[in-house]
Parts: sequence; C-alpha cells; structure tokens
Amino acid sequence: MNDYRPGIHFRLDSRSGIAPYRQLVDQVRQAVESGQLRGGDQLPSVREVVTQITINPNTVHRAYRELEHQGIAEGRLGLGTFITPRAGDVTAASSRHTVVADLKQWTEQARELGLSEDEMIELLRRLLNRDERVSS
Amino acid sequence: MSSDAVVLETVGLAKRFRSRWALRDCTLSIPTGRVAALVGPNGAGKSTLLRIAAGLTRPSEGTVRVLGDVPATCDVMQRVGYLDQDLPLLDGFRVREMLRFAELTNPTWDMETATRYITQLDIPLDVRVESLSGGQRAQVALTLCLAKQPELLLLDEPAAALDPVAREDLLRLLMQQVADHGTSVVLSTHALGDVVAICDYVVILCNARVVLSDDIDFILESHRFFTGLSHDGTALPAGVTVIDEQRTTRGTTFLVRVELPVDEERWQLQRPTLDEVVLAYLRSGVAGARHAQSSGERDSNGERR
Amino acid sequence: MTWTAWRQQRAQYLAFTLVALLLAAWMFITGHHEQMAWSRYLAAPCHGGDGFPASDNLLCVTQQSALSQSWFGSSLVSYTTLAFVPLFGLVLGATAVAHDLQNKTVRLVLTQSQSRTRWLASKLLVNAGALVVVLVPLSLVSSWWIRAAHYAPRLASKAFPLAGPVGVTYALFGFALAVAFGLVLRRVGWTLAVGLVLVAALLLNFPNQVRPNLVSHDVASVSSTRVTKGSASGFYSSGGPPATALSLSSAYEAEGTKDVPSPSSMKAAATEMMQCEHQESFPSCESKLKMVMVQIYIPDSEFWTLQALEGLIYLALATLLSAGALVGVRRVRA
Repeated sequence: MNDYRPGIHFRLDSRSGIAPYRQLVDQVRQAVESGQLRGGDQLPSVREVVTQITINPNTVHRAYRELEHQGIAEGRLGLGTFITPRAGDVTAASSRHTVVADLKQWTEQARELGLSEDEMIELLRRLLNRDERVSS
Repeated sequence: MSSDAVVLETVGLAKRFRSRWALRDCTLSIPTGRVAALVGPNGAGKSTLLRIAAGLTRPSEGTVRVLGDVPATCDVMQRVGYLDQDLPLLDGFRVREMLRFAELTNPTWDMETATRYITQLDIPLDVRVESLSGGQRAQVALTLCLAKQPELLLLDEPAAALDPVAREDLLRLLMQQVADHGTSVVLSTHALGDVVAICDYVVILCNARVVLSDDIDFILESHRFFTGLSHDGTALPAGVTVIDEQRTTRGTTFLVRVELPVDEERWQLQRPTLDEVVLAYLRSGVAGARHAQSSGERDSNGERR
Repeated sequence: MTWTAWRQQRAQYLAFTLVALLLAAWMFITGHHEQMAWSRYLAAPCHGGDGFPASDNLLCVTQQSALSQSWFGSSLVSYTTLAFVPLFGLVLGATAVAHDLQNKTVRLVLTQSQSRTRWLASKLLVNAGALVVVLVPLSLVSSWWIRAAHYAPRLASKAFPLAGPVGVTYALFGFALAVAFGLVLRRVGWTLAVGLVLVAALLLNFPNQVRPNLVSHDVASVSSTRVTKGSASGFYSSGGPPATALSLSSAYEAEGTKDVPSPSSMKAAATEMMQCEHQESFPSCESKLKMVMVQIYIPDSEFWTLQALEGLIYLALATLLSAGALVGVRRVRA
C-alpha cells in the first residue's frame, strides 16, 4: 500500500427498501459525523467502490453528486472526490434539521392524540428535568 | 451520444418456433447508459429476445433496432458484445488462442486489456478451454465480449451456472467495465435477486410479452401497496391500476401502479421493494399485460387493446 | 478468420494428410514392386508368358502367381484411395459447418465483428485449399502407380479417377455438398450420412451413365474364326479395339460401314442376325448377310478430354453448392 487513505468501506443491503445510492450517502454522512472522515479526505473512486462491492457505477456517481449537492463532498477534476472542509457543519446542520422535523412530527401526533399545548410543554419540561436530575 | 439515445428498441416484436410463440407483441425501448435486467420465468422469451438483438435469428414479426441499426450488420456487431447462456468457446483451443481468435475477428480488440483481465483472475493462458472450471469459463467468455470495447453488452443468464463466489467475480468484472467505459448492459436472469444490486432498469417478460419496462427508480416511485382494504377494491381511488392483490383474513393488499397523484395522508400506503413489484407482475402474468403500459415508454400508438 | 478456420479443423487436416502420406508410401512400394515383377516376367526366358521352354515352367509359373498376388494388393490400395478421396472432402465439409451449428459455437463466431458470408467464405477457401494441397500430389503419385503397377487401362472405371487429377474435383464436390447440407441438417452425423449416400450414388453411377456420353466413340470390327482341335471346337475372335481402350458394347452392322451404329440401326441389325440363330455355321451366315460384328469403344486418346470434362462438371456442382450455401447462410437460425 503506497499511500495511506483514510478509507470508508461501503456496504450495501440490497434487501432493505432504501435505494442503494441513498445508502451510500447515509454511510458517508455517518462517517463524517463520527469523525471517521474529515475535511480533505478523499472518497474512493467510482472504480474502487465498484471493485469493493459490485455495485452499479451510476449509483456511485449519483451518490457522490448528491453529496456534492448537500455540500459534504466536492469533485476536483482529475483528482477525485473529496470531503469538503465544512462537511462536519453540514451534517451537524442537517442532523439539527432532522431533529427539528422530528419534533414537528411529534407535535402533530401529540395534537392528534388530543394533547393541548400546555400539556406538551409540561411533558417536554419534565423530560428535560429528568435529564437534569440524571446528570446531576 | 444524446441522452435520448436508445440502445435496444423493439416494436411489436414476435418470434415463432413451429407452433409456439416465443415472443409475442414485444415492445420496449431501453435507453443508453443503463444496466438493464431482463427478468422472467424460464421460457418467457428472454433468450430469444437477446438472440434476435444479437442478430443470430430473425424475428417473425415486428422490428428491432440495436444502437439505432439493424442487428447483424458488420458495423453493429463491432459495437455489441453477446454472451450466450451456454458460454460457448471453441473446442480444443487454449485460452491464448481464444484471445487470438477474438483479436483476428474484431478490429477494435484490445489485447492488453484482455490479457490483463485473464491474468488478474489467475486463469493460465496455456490451458485448454475444456479444462477450465465453470467460473473460469464464464470469465473467459465474458472477456471475449468486453475487450472489443462494445457500447452494448447482451448477456444471456451470465450468472446462472455459477457458484456465488464465481458469480460475484463475474459481476464485478462487468461493473468495472461499465465504470471504465460507460457500457450499456442488458442481462437476462430468472433470479432477480442475483443481479438487483447492479441494475438500474428492469424489463419483465411474462408469457412471451413485455409486462413492464422502466427505470427501477421510477418503478419504485410509481408503485404502492394499498393495505387493509376490503376485498373488492372499489374503495381504491381513481388513477391507479391494480397489478396484484393478496388476500388475508383482515383484508386485501393491492399492489398498484399510480398514474394520478394520490393523497398519501388519506390512504394506508407502503412502498414496495423491487422484488415485490417484480413478483407481483409475474404472478399476475398475462392479466397484468393488459394494464401495464409503462408510462416511461414513449409509445406513440396510444393504448393497446 | 482464415487462421481460425484452419485451427478449428487442424486435427482433421493432420489426420487426413497422414493417411494420404501412408497411401502414397504404400503406392510407391507396391508400384516399384509391381514394376520389377513385370519387367522380370516380360524379360527372357518367360517373355511375358508368350511361350517359354518347359524347363523354365516352374520359374515362369511362380512369377505369374507373384504377379497375381500383388495384383490383389493393388486392388486394396486402389479401392482405399478411391474411397479416401471423396471421404476427405465430406468429412472436412461436415466438420466445417455442421459442427459449429451442432454445439452452438456458431453463437460465438457469428457475434464477432464479421459477416456470416465472410465467415463461411473463409471456411470454404481454407478447406478447398487444403484439399487441393494434399490431393493433387496424391493424384500424381496414383497416376504414376497406375502405369507402374499395370493395374488397368487408365480409362477403366476403377483406374480412371486415380490416373489423373479428376479425383480432386470429387473431393471438392463432396466438401461443398457437406457444407450445404450441414447448414440445413445442423448435425455432423446426419450430414455425413446424407453426404455419403449422395456422393456414392453420383460417383458410382457417373462412369456408366454420364462419362461415355461425354466424347465420341469409335468402332473396330471383330471377326470370329471357328477353331476345331480334336473333338473340341469353339470360336476364336480377333480384331477389336486396342487394349488401352474402354469397351462399351458390341453390335452388328453392315460390312464396309465404319460409323458408330445408332441404337435404331443396332436394333435392325440384331433383328436381321436372328436369321443366323440356328444356322450350322455362324460365320458363314455372317458373311452371307454381309454383317460384321463391331466393338464400340472410347480410345485412350480421349483420356484427357474426359478428365477435363468430368472435372468441370464436378467443379460446377461444387461451385453451385457453395454459392447456395453462401446465400443461405444469411437465413440460418443460429
């Protein structure tokens, strides 16, 4: 092995209902979030991924394009695809975005069940307090 | 090549052998740059379709165009690679001589790539083809197709006779070729599970007819399970076509193709996996063929039947 | 594609070339042996059996029986060669095309970047070339052998194919036939069977039905003399065509005419000769009616004309079959 490359080893679950390109995107995001991949690290080339996991190259292209679109990766002509410096922020931001969306969904569900606004706030405060009590 | 380019196009294609129709009223249009799976039970006509596209046999009715041209012309055969189910190799030849044969009969042959593929797979060049294992035979036969740099590959059940490791090796070789050259692939299989990871387009043949032909993403977007409904399906909204139904004691689950937007909040919908869609179409068989005009096909003739 | 065509049938070429070499060697040996035996027999004291002193009886009878034994060996090698030549063509033809169709390798060769016509044309040319390269020298050896072994006049049906190059055209015909039938029957076994039957039918019937009609005939009158020796009596005929000629048939015609009798005149003459049926002296009846028996024959001088005409006929058949195959290959289902 002549150059060290912090690698990501992709895995594909063809039985799950999740589209293959989506699985690759999620795996890169998780790697960034967990710090396995940092800004400037190179993602494996399309050909390398294909050799690893026998996947359609178009799927890899699509995943990398999606990552570029999300601002997590960038393609450098002739060199490959690299994690952007701000990737960590992007994933954090979108995790935050997910948390907010989940909360929105929860409030809708709670409302459907018949909880009032005050009841929801009370519930939230009790949960937070419990956390505080646990940590203290 | 424009993005509208089509690698394989058939209109009303039919083929009869004595009294049996192997293909009947087969219309499809596979766009370029796809890895397309041709799925169907044994005897559905998959091999016949591929052989017609490869110029080995002539259709009884209808038209077929490969890379825009009539099959079996010299120009087309240079740009198309075909791999038969039986993986034919010339008797008594050594592997090295098989490569020589391909070099002499294909002006676009790349001997360096071919030799590299063979040696990478640890297949000795001086052994006779009869002594090769099943997997090695498939590799050599595939290399003969790949190294002439085709734009389109037609593969007839390439993984059928192989053990899982050999199958993986073969499909990996194929995907490397697609990654390096953007080759379009049409491969037939009677077991979709073997190839679903590598395909992005599906053609379902059932009883000699095409019942579905489209990008996998589009198929997954346009089909839904409607669950927990009464048995007669009258409760289904307008703009959906039923492909298959499964009855349980609690109600019936319908797999439908959605043509008009459906209010996803109001109905209990589930997204099917590709396997479930394919199975549904195969189960419904000819009945499905009546309804299944894929909206992805640019069929200017309008509705059939 | 020529390399592939040769390489696919390499084993057949080697095997048949080997057999051809063995046949040639066999002919060399038997031919020289025969030649020796003949020159001894023709020389003193036996003079070819034409009167020799009683003291040399044993020697000359031994030489004569040696000759007849080796004649039997000659039959063997000649019939083997006569069978070998068209068989070579048939086997090459059957393995050239039907073999690829039978085990489906045609699906490999026809999906390369070459047309079907080119594929078949290569096979036709390579195999025709191989047949010519092996069989022309063999025919030179066999024509020498016919003379050396005094096997038979070269116009005789069993010697004619060996005495000249016409055998090569038999092989080419058999080859083209097997190619054409191979495209249709798609099985090596059936192609060989059908090919054998058809080729044998043609080769066996051609000498009697077609060959004599290719050139004009000659007549030679035959006279028969009554010979009585002691109590035995019989007829001794003299005259007739030379020994090198191919005798066709005999007939009666009016004395003095030297033309070849037509079938109608032969019939009339035979009717007239029925008068002589129960006569006491047949020859005197003949001369009274002024009828003479003639032998219709083809002289040896027509040998090369016959070789050329027959060769052209077989080549024309081979060409027609090959052309048919080149056209038909486009419609064959692979």
